[in-house]
This record gives sequence, structure tokens and C-alpha cells, in this order.
Amino acid sequence: MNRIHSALIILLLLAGFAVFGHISVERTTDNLMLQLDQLQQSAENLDFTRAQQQAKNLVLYCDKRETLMALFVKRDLINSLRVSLSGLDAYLAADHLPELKIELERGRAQVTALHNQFFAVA
Amino acid sequence: MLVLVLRTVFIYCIIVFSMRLMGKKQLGELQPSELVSTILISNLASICIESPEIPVAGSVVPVLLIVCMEILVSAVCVRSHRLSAFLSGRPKIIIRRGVIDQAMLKQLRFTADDLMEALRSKDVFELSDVELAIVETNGSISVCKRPGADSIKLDDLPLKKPKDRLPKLPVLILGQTDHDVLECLGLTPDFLTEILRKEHCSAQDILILFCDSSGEFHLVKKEQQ
Repeated sequence: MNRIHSALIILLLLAGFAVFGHISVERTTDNLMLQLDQLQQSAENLDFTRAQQQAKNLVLYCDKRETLMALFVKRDLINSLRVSLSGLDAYLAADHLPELKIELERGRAQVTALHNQFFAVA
Repeated sequence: MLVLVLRTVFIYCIIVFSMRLMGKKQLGELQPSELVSTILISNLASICIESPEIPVAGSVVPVLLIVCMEILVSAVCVRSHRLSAFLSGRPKIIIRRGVIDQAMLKQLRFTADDLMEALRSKDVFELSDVELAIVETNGSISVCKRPGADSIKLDDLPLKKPKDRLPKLPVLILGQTDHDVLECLGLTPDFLTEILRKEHCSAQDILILFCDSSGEFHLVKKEQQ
């Protein structure tokens, strides 16, 4: 009977862990998407000082969430996203706006891949 | 490298914990569902050790989930004979009074060689010695020999039999008293204290102490360094 209780407690803990993972990954990917959108908007408005700050914040946010995300998602996906986001500030100039858009699209695709790796069933 | 070491130690602890949680059934002959869970656990455990980029949770969560399912399914099987029969099957009689049930042999996909090998492992070398043979759900075979072929037991002889008593069991090992064994023998901790006093030693000096229900004991002291 003790084993059955232990099994039920472990199941509850696993369910809690799954819910925690769900919320963490959802929140992180949503925030990353939002910050990428804001960065694109600032760049399109040619407000590159603000865009520089947003790119910096984006990398800082990614660093902050890296350990937590590594509990749920493959580490190489997180690392490649981190590398992509770190290179964004190199394109924050009026001359490089088209390249910035491409890099932002790549960043979005990586965030989506991160999201799908946790949530996709098939 | 350090990550690999830490992951391996962590997974080792999780698997030992899981096996203990699943109980002794998992270490003996396995039922089909137990075999499936054991194979799955061994594969899942190695994934996050082999691939450091995969989160540890990728191994730990499925392993613990399988353990929980195994425990809950076995708990339900205790209550439901039908589910138990569905998951583990039923024992099948394969030999009656020395005659092989060939239809059953085919159904179980046993060859005559397999059957004879299983019988020989039970010290049966002639088919005619078997009164009844049953293939158990875990694949082992249980044999009941015909009365003439069975070995003589003490009860068969017209002799005065010794009183029923439990054999000598280890009640104290390396200074640690096994209270369950002590209780099973109907003895009290005071009895042990008395033995230690008589033998002029402390519990820490003892390698192993056997006692039986009548209070007879056999003591092995630790060798002095």
C-alpha cells in the first residue's frame, strides 16, 4: 500500500513538473517573440538606440532563462537561439535593415522550434 | 565530462530508487508487463547519459512514469483477476499423468526439446514421472511428480519427528539488530542483551548472531585486527 501511495505522489509531482514546464516554456517563448517584435518595430522606426537596448535585453533575458529551459528542451536548440540573438546588434543600422529582418525571422523560427519541441505531440 | 559523471550518478540513483519502488517482483522472473517496463527503463536511462544535449528530465520523467504505471497496474491486477489474466495470461497445463498436451504445446509455441529441457531443470528425466506440469505466466514450468517418482519425505516414514521449530535466523548483523526476525522468533531485545552479557561482548563486536525460537544461538565474533 505504501508503494501505491508513493506512486500516486510521484505521479502528482510529475504532473506538477509538466504543468510547471508548460507554463515556463510558454511564457519564455511568448516573451522572446514579443521582444523580437518590439525590436523589429524599433528598427523599422529607425530608433536604433532603443533597438540596441532591446537587443541587449533580449540576450540578457535568454541568458536568464537558459538554465530553466534546459530542463525541458534540448540544450543545443537553446544555444543556437542564444548565438542568433547575440548577433542581432550587428545589423542595427539603416543600411542593414533587410538583413536584420532576415535575422529576426530566423530568430522567430528558432523560438517556434523551441516551443514545438516541448509542445508538439507528433 | 563533469556533466556526464553527475548525470550518470543521478540516473543510477533514480534507477536504484525505481527498482526498489517496484519491489522484489522486478528482480525475479518477470511477468510480461514487468519485462516491458524493465526494458523501457534500461533504454530510457541511457538516453540522457549518451546525449548530454538532452535534458535529464527527458529520461527521469518517463522512467518515473513507467514505474508509477507499473505499480498502479499491478495494484489493480491484485483486485481484478480479469485484468491480471489479460496482462499476464493464465498458467497452462502441459502434461497430465505423463501425457503431453500437444495442442497446448503448439499454442505455447514450445518444442518438445524446450519442454524436456525445462523438465530436466526440475530433475525430471522421464516423462512418465510427471503427474502434472504447468507452464506459469512468467514462462517457468512447475512440475508435480507422480507419487512413486517423488523423493521420500520425513513425513512418509514411521519415525518420531522432531518438534516444529523455526531454523536459526540471523538476528544481529554487524551490530545491527533485526527486530523483524527477533519478533518472528518470539524473542525480545532483552534476550539479546542477556546473550551479550553472557558472552562478555558488545553488539559492535559481533559479526553475526543466529538464534532459533527455542533460544539456542550461534555467535560469530568479528576477528580482531
